Amino acid sequence: MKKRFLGLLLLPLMLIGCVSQNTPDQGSYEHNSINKTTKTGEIGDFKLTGPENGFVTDTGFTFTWEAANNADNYQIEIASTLSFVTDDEDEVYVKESNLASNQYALNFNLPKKDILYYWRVTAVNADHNKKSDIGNFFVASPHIDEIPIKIEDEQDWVLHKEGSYADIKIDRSDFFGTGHDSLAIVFDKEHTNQGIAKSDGWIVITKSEDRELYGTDSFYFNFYYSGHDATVLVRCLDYDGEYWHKQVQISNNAKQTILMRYEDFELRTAGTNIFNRKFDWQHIRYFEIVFERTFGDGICLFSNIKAVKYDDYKDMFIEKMDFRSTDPKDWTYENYDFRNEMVISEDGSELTLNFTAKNAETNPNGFSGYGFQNVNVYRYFVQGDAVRMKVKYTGASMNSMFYFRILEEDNDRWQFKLSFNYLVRDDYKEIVIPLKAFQRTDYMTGDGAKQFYFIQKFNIGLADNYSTGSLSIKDLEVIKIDDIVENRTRIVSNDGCIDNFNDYGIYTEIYYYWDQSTVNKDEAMKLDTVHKTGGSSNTYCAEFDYKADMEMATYQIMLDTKGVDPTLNAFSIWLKDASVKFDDPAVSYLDEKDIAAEMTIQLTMDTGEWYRVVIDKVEKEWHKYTIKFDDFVLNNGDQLFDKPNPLNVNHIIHMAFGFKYLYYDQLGNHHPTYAIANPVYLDEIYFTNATESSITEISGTIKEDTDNPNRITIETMEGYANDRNIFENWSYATERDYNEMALSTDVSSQGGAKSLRMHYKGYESISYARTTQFANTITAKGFCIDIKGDGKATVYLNLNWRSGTSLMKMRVTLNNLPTTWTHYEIGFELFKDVNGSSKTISANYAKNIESVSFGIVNGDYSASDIYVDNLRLLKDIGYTTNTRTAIN
Amino acid sequence: MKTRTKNIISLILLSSSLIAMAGCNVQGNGKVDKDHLVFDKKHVVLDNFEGLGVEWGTYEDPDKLSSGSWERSLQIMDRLNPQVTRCMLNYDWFITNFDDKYDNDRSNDTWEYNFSNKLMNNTIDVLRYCDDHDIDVAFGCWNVPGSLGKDEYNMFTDVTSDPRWATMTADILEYLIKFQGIKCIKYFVNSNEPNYSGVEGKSKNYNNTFDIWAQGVKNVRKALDDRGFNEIKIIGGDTTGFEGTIEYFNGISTNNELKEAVGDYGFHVYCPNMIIDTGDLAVRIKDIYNKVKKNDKDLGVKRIPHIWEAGLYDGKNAETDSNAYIANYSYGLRMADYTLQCAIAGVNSIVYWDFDDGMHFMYNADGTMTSKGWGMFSSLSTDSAMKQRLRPWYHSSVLLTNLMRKGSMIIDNPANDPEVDNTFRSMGVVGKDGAYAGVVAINRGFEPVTKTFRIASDLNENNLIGNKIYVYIYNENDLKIGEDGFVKENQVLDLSLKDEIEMEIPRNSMVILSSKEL
Repeated sequence: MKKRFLGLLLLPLMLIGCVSQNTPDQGSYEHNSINKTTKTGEIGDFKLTGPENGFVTDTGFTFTWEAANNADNYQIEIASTLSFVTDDEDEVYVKESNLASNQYALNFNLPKKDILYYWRVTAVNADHNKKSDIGNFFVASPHIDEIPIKIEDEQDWVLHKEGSYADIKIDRSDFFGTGHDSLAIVFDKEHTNQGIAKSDGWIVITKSEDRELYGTDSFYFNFYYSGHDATVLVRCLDYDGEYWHKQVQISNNAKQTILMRYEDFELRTAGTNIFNRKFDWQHIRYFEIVFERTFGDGICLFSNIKAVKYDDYKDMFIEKMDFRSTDPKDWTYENYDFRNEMVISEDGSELTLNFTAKNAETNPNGFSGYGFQNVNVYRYFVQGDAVRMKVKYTGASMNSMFYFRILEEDNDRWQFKLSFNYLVRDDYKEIVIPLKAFQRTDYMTGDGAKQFYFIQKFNIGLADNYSTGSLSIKDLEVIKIDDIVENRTRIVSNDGCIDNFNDYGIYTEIYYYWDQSTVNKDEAMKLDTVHKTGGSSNTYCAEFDYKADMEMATYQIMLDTKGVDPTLNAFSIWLKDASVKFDDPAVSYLDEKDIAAEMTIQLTMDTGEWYRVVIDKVEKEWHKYTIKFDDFVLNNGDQLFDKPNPLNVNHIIHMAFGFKYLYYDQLGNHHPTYAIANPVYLDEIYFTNATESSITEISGTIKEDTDNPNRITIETMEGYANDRNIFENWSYATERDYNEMALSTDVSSQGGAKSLRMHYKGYESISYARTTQFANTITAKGFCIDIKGDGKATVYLNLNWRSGTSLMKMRVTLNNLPTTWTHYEIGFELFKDVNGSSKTISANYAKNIESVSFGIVNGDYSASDIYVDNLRLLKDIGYTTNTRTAIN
Repeated sequence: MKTRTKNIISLILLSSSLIAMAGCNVQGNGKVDKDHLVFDKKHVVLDNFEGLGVEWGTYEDPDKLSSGSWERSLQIMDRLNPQVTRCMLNYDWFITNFDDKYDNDRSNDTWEYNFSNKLMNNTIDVLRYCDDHDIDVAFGCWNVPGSLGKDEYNMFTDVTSDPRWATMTADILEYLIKFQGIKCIKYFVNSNEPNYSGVEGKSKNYNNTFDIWAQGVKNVRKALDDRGFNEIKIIGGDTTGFEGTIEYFNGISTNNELKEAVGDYGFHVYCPNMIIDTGDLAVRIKDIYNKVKKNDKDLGVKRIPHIWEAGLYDGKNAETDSNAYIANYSYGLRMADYTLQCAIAGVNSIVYWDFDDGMHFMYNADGTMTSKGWGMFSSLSTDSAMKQRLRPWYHSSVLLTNLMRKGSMIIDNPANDPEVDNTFRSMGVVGKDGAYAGVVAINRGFEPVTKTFRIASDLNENNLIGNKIYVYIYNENDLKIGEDGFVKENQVLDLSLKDEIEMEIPRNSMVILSSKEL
């Protein structure tokens, strides 16, 4: 009331001439005039009075400033930029004009939080205006713990018409037992697999949210999926119109709790707008559930979706393993109960499994061969892509294998194994295991897909050990590879070497640079010494696996080619396919050599071009493929705005390989087998120079002898110039300090000038191995060898033979070896699986013998030697042949 | 009965205003005095105006409202202070367990209602507010249930004539009125803009005709009467566009049974700027009025004209269903001019489209939704700050809704004839029982003009007009905003509108002189 009175006085009212008029029909009235109040002239200085600079708020408040002399009204501007930018949608700017007094209440939402805002006031009259200084204040996130994305009703979730049809219902049965309704999405292959490329396998369900998520950093929800293979993503449309998504790690048929950090969301780039490449999660416009590559039946439930603070839920997750977090009394074990002598450090970071070969009451057989301690976990992996730990062993058995297995929620068990040889006795060694590097086990009762989400157990143990010792694990944690590898881009050398796989210390390091898809479900990368070629200087080749009848398994690597010789004009790679024919009558008509991966090679330029070449069938023996850049085909021309650039080695930034194989029956119909674990071996990947594209065989493949097609010679020792060269093909399969292989001039009469001397000592078996890479065309019924013994050795002659996905040790035991050269011919039926199966090597599958190995012992603990020469496969003997002939 | 009498009077007065220009506004030489404007009883167009209002329907996704934004919306509604609103929803939101028995017999179909959801909660919030604030509500359903791509209820063929529509309507009204105790629903909208049929696949209304709609009205009338909702009037049309409106009004006015079934002549006008700017809107409305009047003598008596959606056509982006000019001062000036012209043409209430950007959405083919930008502000806290702030046309509308109250008289002036001057219009408003008075003057010209204004003594018989004048000026330079963000007067003077007040009206401005604070 007081203010109004004052205002009235201040108004320079111009009441001009109050003239009384009288008209008979209208009665009497006065004439008055109203002049619009207008101020002119210079405006006085004024200051902002509130809030004080730096004022922190998360709610509305009132701006105040001094009244300026001669001001008619005021304009206030509020901005997120000091320069009061008005036309940038990423910034905030708001202006309110015509303010009658020197204060203004902010009663709407300033959309950006946790930033400093600036404000200023302009005093205005009819012909002048004057700006104040600039003030500032800080708008903080509201202290909101959780923000629900409500399930509500069916109509709140909109199914995109462009995709496959799905039935959307609200399940009010409290499916998850949390008291919340669930969104149920049901689809079937009648709709997801209609043969319509545009829509098949793609379902999008949108809830329009327009929600501020300040104060949170993660989405939390309960999730369930049951059905065929599916890829489920949570996707958000952010404030500036970009789509960001994060894949749900599905555990089929399991009620899951999912926590997704915003920082782990990825930008969707295909067919959508790209703006600031930043997930502006502070404001999301849509919350979406997206199914991709989902061609079957399925039911999926989402419930209790909310934006939360990760820290509020972090106890659910493993960052650093505390072995005290579950009670060892509830742990289980396999074959050996370590708990009797197990030690957990006070801080819970270290677990030591002690084991003794001696019998004990609790372990009546002692430690014999292998044992696993199953550590209960019951928590989630959430934020990393690798497991890091320190591992130590004690005891004599350096040839043992360390195993670390992860049992997922859906009962898929994945494993990492490592020879003690790689570890350091009595001292910790750090190992990093990328989650993608974990490999299948025989215990896979879930969906066979790697989730690494809710973890039931760690199985920690060892195998191939018969002695006393200990195994310790310390500082087990989930990490991000990015945090330990500074540059994951492969620097291509000047001579064009992309990767020859020789400088990796352990196979898991491949994953630091190479990435693999997940859609094929059988992607795996390993280093391999058995199938490699190229002599001893070539330490490893790589094995990339794929599953038949699935989407292409892809492997990719970022490249830095700036330092490469710019004249290089071609790409080259060594390849060998080892895909395994699936045992199914419908495809039995196929020849095994026909079962070979189709390989796609894609090179991406920094100018956006994708160039591809497709190898229809990778050869079964090692071949070098040289492909001129000119023979690569542009694959994305329709997406380029400018004329495409030709392939130029210094502009290649990315390389990808894809592998697939589809089985067809004799009528030409696709006959899915889903055959797993098909390897393709790769090596020596280079940019190179070539005048034309070519495929050339690499020496080292073992074929029929040219002078005798019934004979396939593996080894005569004649090709080695010195002892060191032996290791191009031979290796110590076990580490013994008395390991020794050497060339010998003590030869059989059939043996040319050299044989191989194998040193051994007593009771502990030594093992020497010779890799074999047979041509795909060979057949054989038996094996022959010349041996000179010492009168006391027992030799375990092993043919390491791959049958399907299993590598079997097929053994013949040779006792009482003569001390003179003797020629042995042994049919394959005499080689027996050491694990007791009844399988035998048949002629057509002799090519799958991957190595020949020798285990040697004697009974008197003495050191001695045996000699071998002329290792061969034979076609023209019987499967049961078993002859021993002295060589004169 | 009392209302009927007053409306008869207004009808007589309206006719006279169209025919004879008399009194002090006509100079001795027969020319209209366009500088000295007197508002007298002879030029009363409406003596029982029903008030102004705004579309305030169910928020299609109340979850989008962040903490505090609903409360802010109510504050904004408080200040707007409307007396009539239109509240639309979809029956689909509540129908559940629909069973068509796998036959073509619709009479045996069964369904249930789920009213326990956010949409009904929000509907009730809106209606309770209207109850508490004495706001008359036109309540209705946008279209028959079913989604565009899937006619789940098999209702697209018969549209609102489908007997199930009437049943659903009565059921839902019964829930609101009898179960929830809602009292403010005075009108029922028998589907939105039925004359806009569109094409199959893009409109649920594609098969509609006037006859189908008329049958629907009759069905609903009977269903409402059967439930005892005789007082709820069915809107006669709710059509859009002048041509379609004339078709429906002609159909109604020439069909006695239908005439009795409807309760008003209601239509939507999205007006091109040119028609408003030249003063032609009033002419066109009067033209429609006169056409209807020929067939329906009860026009303005039993069936009064309403505009249930009022907006500007220019600036409309059909793709986003937004108006590009919505935040301009010119939008507010034109909507004020629109209001004035409709009122002096005899329209009894006008409902602006619409209150809040956060209410309605465009549903895109990809399943996404985009808010429709027609509001006086946006309650979506995720919208930019500039969209959240009150738009100028909110302030101009606040002035008019607070001046043109229920029961007030609307007084025309002969100088409003576009033939006299198509750049300046004015209107007198005298509150119910003469409790207050006001003058609305709109100068659409490029130069300021000086005029005198006076409320004649025959409209101030109770001498209640008082001796204060609140001056409000609406243009980009002169509008005054208070510290609370709402419009306030430019001046308060110890003068009276019963005297002749001379004032210069700035170019492209609206000036309101009011004896009460608005």
